Amino acid sequence: MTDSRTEALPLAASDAELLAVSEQRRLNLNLAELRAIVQHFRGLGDERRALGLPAGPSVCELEVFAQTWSEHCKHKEFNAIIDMKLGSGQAAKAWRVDSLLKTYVVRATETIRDKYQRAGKDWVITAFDDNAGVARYSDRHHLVLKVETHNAPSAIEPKTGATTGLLGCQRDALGTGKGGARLIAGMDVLCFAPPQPVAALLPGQLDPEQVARGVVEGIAAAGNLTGVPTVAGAVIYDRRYAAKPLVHCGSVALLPAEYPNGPGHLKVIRPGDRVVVVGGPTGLDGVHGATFSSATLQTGQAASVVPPGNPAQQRRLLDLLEQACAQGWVLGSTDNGAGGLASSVGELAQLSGGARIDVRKLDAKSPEIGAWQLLLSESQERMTLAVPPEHVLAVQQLARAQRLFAADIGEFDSSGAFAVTDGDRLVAHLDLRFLHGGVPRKHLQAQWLPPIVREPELPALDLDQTLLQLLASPNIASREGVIRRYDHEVQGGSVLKPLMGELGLAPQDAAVLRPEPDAWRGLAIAHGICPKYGDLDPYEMAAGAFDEAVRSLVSVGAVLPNLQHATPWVGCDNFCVPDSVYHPEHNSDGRKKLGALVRMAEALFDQSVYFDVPMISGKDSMKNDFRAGAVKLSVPPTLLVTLVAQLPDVRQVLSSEWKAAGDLIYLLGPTYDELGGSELYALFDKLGARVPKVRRPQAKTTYLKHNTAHERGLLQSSHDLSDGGLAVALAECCLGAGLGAQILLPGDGLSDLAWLFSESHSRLLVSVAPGHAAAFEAAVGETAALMGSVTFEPRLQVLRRGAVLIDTEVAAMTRSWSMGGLL
Amino acid sequence: MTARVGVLHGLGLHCHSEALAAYRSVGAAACLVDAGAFLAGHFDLGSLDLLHLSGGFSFGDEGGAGTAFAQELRAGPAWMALLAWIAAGGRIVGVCNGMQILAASGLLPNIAGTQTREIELQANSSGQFVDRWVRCLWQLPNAPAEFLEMPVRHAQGRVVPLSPDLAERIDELQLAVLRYVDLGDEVSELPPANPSGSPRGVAGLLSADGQILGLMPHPESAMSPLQHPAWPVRRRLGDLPEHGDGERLLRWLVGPFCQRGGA
Repeated sequence: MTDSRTEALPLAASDAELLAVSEQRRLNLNLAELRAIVQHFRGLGDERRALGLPAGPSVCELEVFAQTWSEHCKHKEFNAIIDMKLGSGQAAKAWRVDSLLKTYVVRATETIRDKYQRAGKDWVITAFDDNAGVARYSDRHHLVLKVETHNAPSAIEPKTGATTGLLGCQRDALGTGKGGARLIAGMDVLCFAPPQPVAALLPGQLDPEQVARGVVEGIAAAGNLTGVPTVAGAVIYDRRYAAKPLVHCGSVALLPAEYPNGPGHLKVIRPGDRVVVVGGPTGLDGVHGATFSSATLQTGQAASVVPPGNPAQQRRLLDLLEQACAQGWVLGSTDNGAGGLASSVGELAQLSGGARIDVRKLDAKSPEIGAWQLLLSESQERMTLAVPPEHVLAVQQLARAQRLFAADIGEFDSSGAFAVTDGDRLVAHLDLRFLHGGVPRKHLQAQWLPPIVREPELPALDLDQTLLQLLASPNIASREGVIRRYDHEVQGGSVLKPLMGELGLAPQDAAVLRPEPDAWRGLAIAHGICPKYGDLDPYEMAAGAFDEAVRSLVSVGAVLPNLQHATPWVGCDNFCVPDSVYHPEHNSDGRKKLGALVRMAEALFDQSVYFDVPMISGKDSMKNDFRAGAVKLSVPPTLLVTLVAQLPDVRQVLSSEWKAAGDLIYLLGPTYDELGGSELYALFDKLGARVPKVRRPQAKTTYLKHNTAHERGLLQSSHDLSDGGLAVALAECCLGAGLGAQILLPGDGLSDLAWLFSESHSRLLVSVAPGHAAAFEAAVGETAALMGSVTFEPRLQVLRRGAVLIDTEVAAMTRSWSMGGLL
Repeated sequence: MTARVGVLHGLGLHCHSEALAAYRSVGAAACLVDAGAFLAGHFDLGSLDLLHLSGGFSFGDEGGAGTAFAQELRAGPAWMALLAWIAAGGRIVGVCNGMQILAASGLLPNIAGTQTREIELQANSSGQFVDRWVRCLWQLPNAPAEFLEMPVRHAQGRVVPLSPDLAERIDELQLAVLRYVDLGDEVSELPPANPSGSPRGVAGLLSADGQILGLMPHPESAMSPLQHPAWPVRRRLGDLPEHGDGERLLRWLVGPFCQRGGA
C-alpha cells in the first residue's frame, strides 16, 4: 500500500520524469498540466512544511488533480481555444473559438433566456452549473433533465457498464439542487455496430452482438429494479461503433420547488455543515474511472475500473434522499460518480469555501484500503450530502432504516482549501481555487473541408421489395425486442408509450408522461440523432438531429415556444466524438475531426436560438476510439439532442398510427431530392452526396401550421418522417393500425425514389377526418399536400403518373419490420 | 364503510405512488406503510382493512422473486401479528412482486391452511422480463365473468403449483380467478396473450379462505383510460370508457372483497 502522504511529484523533476510519473500512475495528465501543478507547489514553500506535507504534491494530492482535471470532469477539449478553418484556399473562412461550450451551447441558452427574461417568461432555472439542468414545471415542481454517456465501461463490461451508466445518471438528477428529486423517466439511446457483416475482432474487442445484448440487459436491470420507467430511446447501427458503443442514459425528474429549508434547486452550504456520505460501502471498485474514460480504449484494458452497480441498493437510496430532503435535512447533495469523493466533496466545498474530511470515517469494505483510494473510489450508489449538524443523526437513522450507510466524514469550512486526513494524519491540502481554476487551457487546431462525393447509380429496383428490405434494415426495424424488456409504465404515468394501438405495434415519435395523477399537465420527451449524415456534412447532421427532436415533439402536439404563450421546452446535448486532437503519428486527421465537431456545435447554436429551445445540460465524450497495435477504430462524430416539451393537457396528444378508414392523408413540408446518407443508399452500401438540409424558416412555418391545425382539433394522427422517408413513414402508420392507405404522389419533377425514400427534414405525415378536410386545408394552406386516404383493406398502394410504385399487404410489411429487429 | 388500505412500500417495493393514488380515487382511506417498519413489527395492522403489497423488486429479488422478503417476514416479529390480523378478517392483495411474496411466504393460496409454500412463480417461458398489456378473464366463484385489460411487467410470472394435487385443488376451489385470454377471449397458455406462458393461463389467485388475492397484472396502472395503449384509436371510434379496467377491480377490492365474511 502506497502511503498517501508520500511525495509523488518532486518539484525538481525534469519534463521526462514528470511524464513518467503520469504514465506510471495512469494519471492521464499532460506536460502542461504537470508543469502547472509543479509551478503551483513551488509557490507554496513554507506553507507546506507547516502542514507537515512534502514540498511537492503527495500521492493523494496528485491523484485528486488527475481526477479533477480529467477530460471527463473538466472538459478541457470542449473548453479549449480552437483555431478553426472552414474550406481551403482563398474562399476559406478562419476564426478562433474560445471554448465550444461557452460559444455555442451556453451562449445559445443565454440568448434565449435574455429574450424571455425581458418578457418576464424565462423558464430556465439552472443551466450547466449543477449535476443536471433545472426548468420550471408547475407551482409545486421543477423539471430536472440530464443525459450522460457511459461508453468506455460499456465497451469492456457491457451489462455492468450500462447498469452503472443509467444508475449514475439517475443520481445526477437526484443530486441536483438540495437533492431528492423524484425520478419519473429514464431514457437510453444506444449506438452499436451491427452483427452483420461479421468483422474480425481485434484483441480485446468484444463481439458487437454480445455488446448490444449486454447493454440492453444492463439498462433493463437498472431501470426495472429502481422503478423508474424507461420511456424513450433509440438504437442506432453503424459499423464504426465497433470502436466503442455509445450508451446514452437519460433521466427526467421532478424536484420539489420548495423544501422546509428553502428552494429545492439551491444548494446553500455554510461553514460548519457536515459532510455526510450516504449509500453503500466504499471499496476499491472503479478507482481511476474518470481518467480511464477520458482515454482511448486499448487492448488488454482491465475491466476492474468498471465498478459494479447495485440497482436494488440504489432504489433504497432514492427513497432515502426523497425522505431526507422532504424533511428539510439536506442543504445540498451530489453524486459520487467519476472521481469519487475527490470530485464530489471538491465541488461542494466551493460553495462554503472549503472542506476537511477524514476518509477513515467512511464505511469501507476493508480497513486495508489506502487513503487516496478511499478518496477516489467510485463505489456506486453513494451520494455526498451537506447536512446541518443538528440533522446528522436523523439522516443516519433514516439510512439505517433503508439498510444503507451514512458516514459523517467531516465539515465544510471557509478555509479556501480541500483538506483530507487519514485518521489524524493530513494527506492532502489543496487550494480550491487552483484545483478548480488552475488547469491550463488547451489550444487546438481544426479544419473542415467538404468531402468530394457524388450520387451513386442504383440498379433498377422492385420498389415493393425495396420497401420490405428497408423495413427489415437495422436502423428501421422494430425495437419491440428492446422496448418490452424495459418497464416503461411503472408509476402509472405513461400516456404515449413506445408502442401503441390495439396490436401494440405502432411506433411513436415521442414519449408522453402525466407524472401527477391529479393533473392533466404532462411532458413529451423526444430524441434526435442521425450520425449517418455526418460524413457528408457535420453541420447539417447536427442541425438534422436537432430538427428530428423538434419535429417529433411537434408531431405529438407540443406547441413551439413563443413569447405570447411560453410553453417551456428544454434540451440536453450529448456530443460523442473520436479523439480530435491532432497528432502527426497517432491522429493525423485530428484537425478534420475537430473541424467536424466545431461545425456540429455551430449547428446546435443556430437551431437552439432559432427555435427558442435552450439547452440546460449536456455532456461531451471525446475519446471514442479503440486501438490495438497500429489499428485504430473511431466512432462517427455523433450528436444526440434530447428535448422535453411541457404539455398543458395530455389528453390532447396525437399518436402516429392511422385511426379510421376514409381519413385523408396529408404531407406537411416540402420534399427535396436529398438521398445522401439515406437508408435507401445504405442498402447498397452507398453514401451519396445530397445531404438533407434543415431550412429553418420553412421548418418553422410547417411546425406552426401543424400547431394551428392541431389546436383546432383537426388532426387524427401525426408521424414524423425520418429514416426511410415517406414510404417507411406510410408503412409505419399502416402496420401500427392494421389499416391500409392509398396514395397518389404528385407528378412534379422529383424522381420516384426521391419521393419515396428521400429523408428531407422537417416533414410530418398527418391524417384528417373527411369532415375536417376543408377546415384543415384552410388552416395550413400550401404547406400541406394531399397524398391520399386511409383504407380499411390492410394494403399500402402508392401510385404516381398512372403507374403503381408500391402495392404491398400490411401483413408483409409487419412481418419484415418485426423480423428485422436485431435484439 | 370506507375501506382503510395500507400500501406497503420501500426495500424495493416501488409501485406505491400509483397504488396510493388509485385507492384514493375509488374512495378508500389509503396510506403508505413503510416496509422496514412493517417487517420490524412497528406497524399496527389493526388500523387497516386491506394491506396492499405493491410491485417492485423487494430486496432486489435476491434468491428468487419475493423470497428474501418472505423469509424476513416469516422469521421476524411481524409474522405472528400478521397471521392474527388475517384470522381477525384482514385482507391482503399482492400485485406482481406482492404476489410473489405472498406465494413465497405460504400465504397464497394456503390450501392446507398451514402457511407452507404451495406455488412457485417461475421464470417466464421467454426467459425475459416483459412489459405488455394483457386481456384477462376475471371469474369469481358464483359471479358473472368479466374481461379486464391491464399491463404485466415481470420476469417471473408462471404460476406453478408444487404438486399436481395442488393444481387440482386450485381448480376445484376455483381459486384461479384471473386468467390470460387471447384475441378470441379463450384462456391462453401462449405468449404474447399469456406473456409468461403461465400454465392454465393463471394470472391471479385467490387464497383458499378468500381473504388473500395475488395478481401478476397491475390494476393500479390501468385506472385512467389514457393508460391503455389503444386509447387514441378507441377515442376516435367513440368507445373510450370513462375509466380503465383496473378501476373496476379496485372497486371490488375496497368493496365486496373487504366486506365478505371470512372462510
